[in-house]
Amino acid sequence: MPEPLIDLSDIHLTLGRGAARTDILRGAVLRMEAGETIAVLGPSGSGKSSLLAVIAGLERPTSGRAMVLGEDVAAMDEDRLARLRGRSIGIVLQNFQLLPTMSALENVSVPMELARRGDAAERARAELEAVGLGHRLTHYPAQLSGGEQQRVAIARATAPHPQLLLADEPTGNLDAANGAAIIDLLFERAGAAGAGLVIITHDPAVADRASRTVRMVDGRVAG
Amino acid sequence: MSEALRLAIRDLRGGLGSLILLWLCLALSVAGIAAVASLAASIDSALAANGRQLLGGDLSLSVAQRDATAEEYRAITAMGRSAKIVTLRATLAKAEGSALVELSGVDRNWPLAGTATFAAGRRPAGTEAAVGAELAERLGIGVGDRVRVGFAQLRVSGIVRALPAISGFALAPPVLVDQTGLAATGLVQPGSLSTTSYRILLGAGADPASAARAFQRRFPNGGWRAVERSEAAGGTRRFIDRVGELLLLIALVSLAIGGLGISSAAGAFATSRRPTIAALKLLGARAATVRAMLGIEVGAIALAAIAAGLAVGAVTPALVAGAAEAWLPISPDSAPQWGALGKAALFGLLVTLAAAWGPIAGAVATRPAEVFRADLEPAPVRRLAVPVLAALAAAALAVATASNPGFTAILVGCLAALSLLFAGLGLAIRRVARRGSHRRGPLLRLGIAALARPGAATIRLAVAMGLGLSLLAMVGAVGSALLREIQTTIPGRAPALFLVDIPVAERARFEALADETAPGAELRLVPSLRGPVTAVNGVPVTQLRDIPEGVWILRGDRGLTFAAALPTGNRIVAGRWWPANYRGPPLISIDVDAAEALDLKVGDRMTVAVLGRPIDARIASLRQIDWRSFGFNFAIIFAPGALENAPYTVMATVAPPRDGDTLALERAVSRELPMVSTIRVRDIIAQVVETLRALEGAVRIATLLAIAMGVVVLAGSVVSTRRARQREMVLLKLVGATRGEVLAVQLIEFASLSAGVALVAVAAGALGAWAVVKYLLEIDFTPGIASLALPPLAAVLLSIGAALMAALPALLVRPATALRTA
Repeated sequence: MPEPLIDLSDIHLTLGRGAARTDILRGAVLRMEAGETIAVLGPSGSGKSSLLAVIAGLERPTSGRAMVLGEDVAAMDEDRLARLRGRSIGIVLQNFQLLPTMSALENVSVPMELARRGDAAERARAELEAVGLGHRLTHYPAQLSGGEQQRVAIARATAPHPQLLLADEPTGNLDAANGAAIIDLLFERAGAAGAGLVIITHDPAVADRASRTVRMVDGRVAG
Repeated sequence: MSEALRLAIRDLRGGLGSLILLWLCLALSVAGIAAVASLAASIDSALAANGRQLLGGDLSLSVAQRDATAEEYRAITAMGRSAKIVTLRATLAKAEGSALVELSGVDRNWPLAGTATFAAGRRPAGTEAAVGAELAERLGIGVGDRVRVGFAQLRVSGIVRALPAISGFALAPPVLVDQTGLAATGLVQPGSLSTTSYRILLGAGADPASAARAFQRRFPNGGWRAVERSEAAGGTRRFIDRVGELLLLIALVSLAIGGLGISSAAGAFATSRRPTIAALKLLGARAATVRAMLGIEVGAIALAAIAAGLAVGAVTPALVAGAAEAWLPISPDSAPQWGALGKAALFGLLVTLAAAWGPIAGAVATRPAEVFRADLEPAPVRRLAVPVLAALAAAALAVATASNPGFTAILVGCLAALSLLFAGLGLAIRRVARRGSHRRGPLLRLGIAALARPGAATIRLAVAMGLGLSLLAMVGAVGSALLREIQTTIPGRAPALFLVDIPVAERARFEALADETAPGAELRLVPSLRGPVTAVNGVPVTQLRDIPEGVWILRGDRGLTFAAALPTGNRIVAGRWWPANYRGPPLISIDVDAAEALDLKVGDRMTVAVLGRPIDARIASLRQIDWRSFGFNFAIIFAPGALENAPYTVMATVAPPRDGDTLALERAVSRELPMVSTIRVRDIIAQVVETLRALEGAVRIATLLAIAMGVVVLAGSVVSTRRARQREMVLLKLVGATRGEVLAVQLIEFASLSAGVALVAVAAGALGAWAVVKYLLEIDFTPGIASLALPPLAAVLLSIGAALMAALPALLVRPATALRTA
C-alpha cells in the first residue's frame, strides 16, 4: 500500500508565552492519500492556516507526529525542510508572495534552480504558458495584476511537479471572476502534476470540487 | 497651532523610522566639521589673545650675529621697557651624553610678559643654567648637577616647565642662562650664529606695527626683524592652519558621504509617508500643507542632529586641551567658538537641503492614484534645482572660508569628480547586474539581481563606500611615502652630522680631529653667516606689508655663504657662475624658485645686511637646488670677494663610511672644541617622525570618521530595506533555500558591489596620492603594500558585516510569522 501523503497524529501547536500563550492546534489529526484533494473549511481563528503551516514545515508542532511525504517534518531541521519544500511541496498563498526583484520567469525558475535542475528555465517557461502568461515572462510582480500574480504563484508551485500542493485561500485577494479562474487553474495544474491538493477556502463551491472536505473547529479537525 | 504643525506632530506618533538614520548621519557630519573647526579656532584664538604673553612683550626686534648699537639701543629703550635675549644653538654635555640645545641668555628684565615656570628649582643666576624638562629626563639631569655648555661648567639651578616663546618653532630643547652665564660659555663670538632680540613693552595705546615700521625706517640697513604680539608663535599658527585645513577637508568628505545617508533616509521616509499623503490629499489637503508637514518633520530632526553635532564641537577644545598642551605654547581657548560652530551649522543645513529636498518634493507631488502602483515616475528636472543650488552653496562656503581657497577649490572639484565617477560605477554595476541575470547559477543570480532591484541603493552605496575607501587609500599611501622618505631615503642620503659655529681659526684642528676619529668619513666645510634681505631692486623690504607664502626668502634671517665653485646638488638655470678667482663688485646666485616668487631675473639687484652693513649685489645666476641632496644648500650664495672680511664661522657635514660611526668624533669635538654645536641627523629625523606620526594619527582618526559614515550609510541601507529583504529571504526558504544559501545571497550582493568599488577606490586613491606626493611634497611615490591593501580589506569586512546584518534577522524569524505579517 502506498504511503499516505500526509499523516498527522495528535498535533498540538502552542504559540506565545505567559498571558499571550495560545493553543492553536489541539490534537489535530489528518490523513491524506495519494491522488486526493482536500478542502479545509472553518471559521476564522480555527487553525486552518496553522495546520497548513505544520504540513509545509513552516511551523514546528509543539507535540504530535507529523509525517509528510514519508518524512517526519517535526524532527527535520530547517535546511532539510527547505529542501523538501523546494522539491516536493508547492505552496500558494493568499497574498501571492512573489519575489519582487524577479521577473515572472525567474520567480517560477527559482525553486528548480535551488534544487539544481538544469531544465529550470524551460520548465518555468512551459508552466507560465500553461497558466496563460507566456507573454509576461519578463514582467515584475509590480507590473502584473493580482490575478496574474496569483497565476505566477501557481506556476511556481506546480513547475517542479511536486507531490503535494498546498493553497491557503488562494482567491482571498481576488475578485469573483479572477477567483473562479484561479481555482480552475489550481485544480487543473494539480491534476496535471499528479499532486495531492490541500486547499483552505471559505467557499463551499470550491469545497464541493475537492474529493474530501474537512472542517477545522477550535484547533481540531472534525469530519 | 498651524495645520501643518498639527499634522506633523500626529504623523510622528508613528515613530521616527528612517529619520533616525538622517539624525545619525547629520549629527556625525556636523560633529566632525564642528570639532575640527572649533579646535583650530580655539587654538588660534588663544594664540591671538595671549600674544603679549607668548611673545614676552608687545614687540620683538631681532638682529643676527650682533647686539644693537648704542644709537639703536637708545631708540629701543625710548619705545618702552625692554628685555634682551641672545639665542643660539649649542651643545650641552654631561658624562651621560650630550645634546643639541637652544641656549638663551636673558637679562634681568626678562620676562616682561608671561611667566617662566619651573618644575623644580629656580631661574639661573651667574654660572648657572636651567634646562628643559624633556632634556633633563633624557640625560638624567637634576637640580644641583653640573653640565658643560661651551667653555663653561654650569650648575643646574632649575628644570624648566614652560617659557615665554623665546624663538620660533624650536627643534632643540631650551637651556636658560643669564648674561653672565652666557659670557662664561664663550660661545658668542664674532661670526657665531646667534640672534639678539629685544622684547619691548610699549606705552599704553601705542601700535606695535607703527613702532616697528618707524624703527626699521630709521635703521633700514640694520637687518632688523620685527614681530608684533599679534604675530606671536607665527610658525605654530601656520602649522595649525595647515593641519586644520587638511582635517576640515576630510570632515567635508565625511559630510558628503553623510549627505548620501541623509538622502537615503529622506527617500525612505518619503516613501513611507506616501499612503499618508495620498489619504490627506483625498481628504482635501493642499500640496503646500503637505510640504510644510513633511518639512517640519524633517526640519525638526535635522535641527536636533545639528544641535547634537554642535555640542560635540563646542566641547572638543576643552577635551583636547590636555593632549594639545604638550606641543602647543599655550592651552587652547576652551570657550565655544561661535564662528566655527556657525559655519558647521550652515554646512549641516545646506547638505540637508541638498539631500532631502528631492525625495520630499517628489513625495509631495505624488498623485494619490500612483501610491497604489510601484512604477513611480522619475523626478522632473525642476526638483533638482534646489538640491543643486544648495550643494553649490556648500562648496562655495568651503572655498570662501578656507585659508587657501585655491587649494580647497581644487579639492572640492576632485570630490565632485570622484562622486560622479563612483555614481557612474554604481550605474554600470546595476546595468551589468540586470543584463546578464538569466544566465547565472541561482545564488549568484539572486545576489547580483539584488543590485538591480527597483529602489536598490546601489549607486548611493557605491559613492559612499567609494569616497571613504579612496580617502583611506590616499591617506595611507601619502603617509607611507612620507615616512619612508624620512626614515629610509633621508638617512641614506643625508650626512650623519651637521656641525655649526666652527671658528675659522679652528678649521684645521677640526679637520685633524675628523681625520683621527672618523677616518674615511666624507667631510664638507662651508663658510657661514646670517643676515636678512633688506631690499630688492632698491625697494626696502619693510615697505611690503604682507610677505606672500612663496617669498620665504624675505622672511627673517637667511643663511649666507660664499663659494668659488658651484656646490654639488645645484644646477645653473639662468645666467652664469663666476670664475673661481672672481674679485669684482658683489655678485650673488639665488634659488630659482625664490627668484620666480619675487619676479627677479639675472641682472636684478638684492641688498643683504650682514652685521648691520648693507651689501648690494647683482644677481649673476639662478640655481635649481636639489634640496634632497641634504648637503649645505643656500638660497643666496655670494661670489668670492664680498664676505671674506666679515666675521664668519664654518659649518661642516660629516658622512661616515658604510660601517663607521661618528661617536668618537662627537666626543672629541665636545671635548676639544666646545664652542661647536653638533646636530645629529637621526635625532632630528626622530623628532620629525614623532611629529609626523602624531599628525598621521589625527588624519587617520578623521579618515576613520569618513569610513564610519560609509558604514552608517551601508547600515542604513540594510535597515531601510529590512522588511523587503526579510520577506525575500523567507520566500527563498519557502521555495527551498537553506540558511547558508540565504546568507550566501546577501554576501554575494554586498561583496560584488564592494569588490568593484574597492578596485576603483584603490586606483583613485593611488592616483590622488601620486599627485600629492609628486607635485606637493616632491618626493618619490612609493606606496606601501599595506596602504593599498587596506581599502579592499576594509571593503571585505564591510561586506561581511553588512551581509550578516541583513541576513540574521530573517534567519532568526519563523517563516510562518514572517509570512503572516508580510
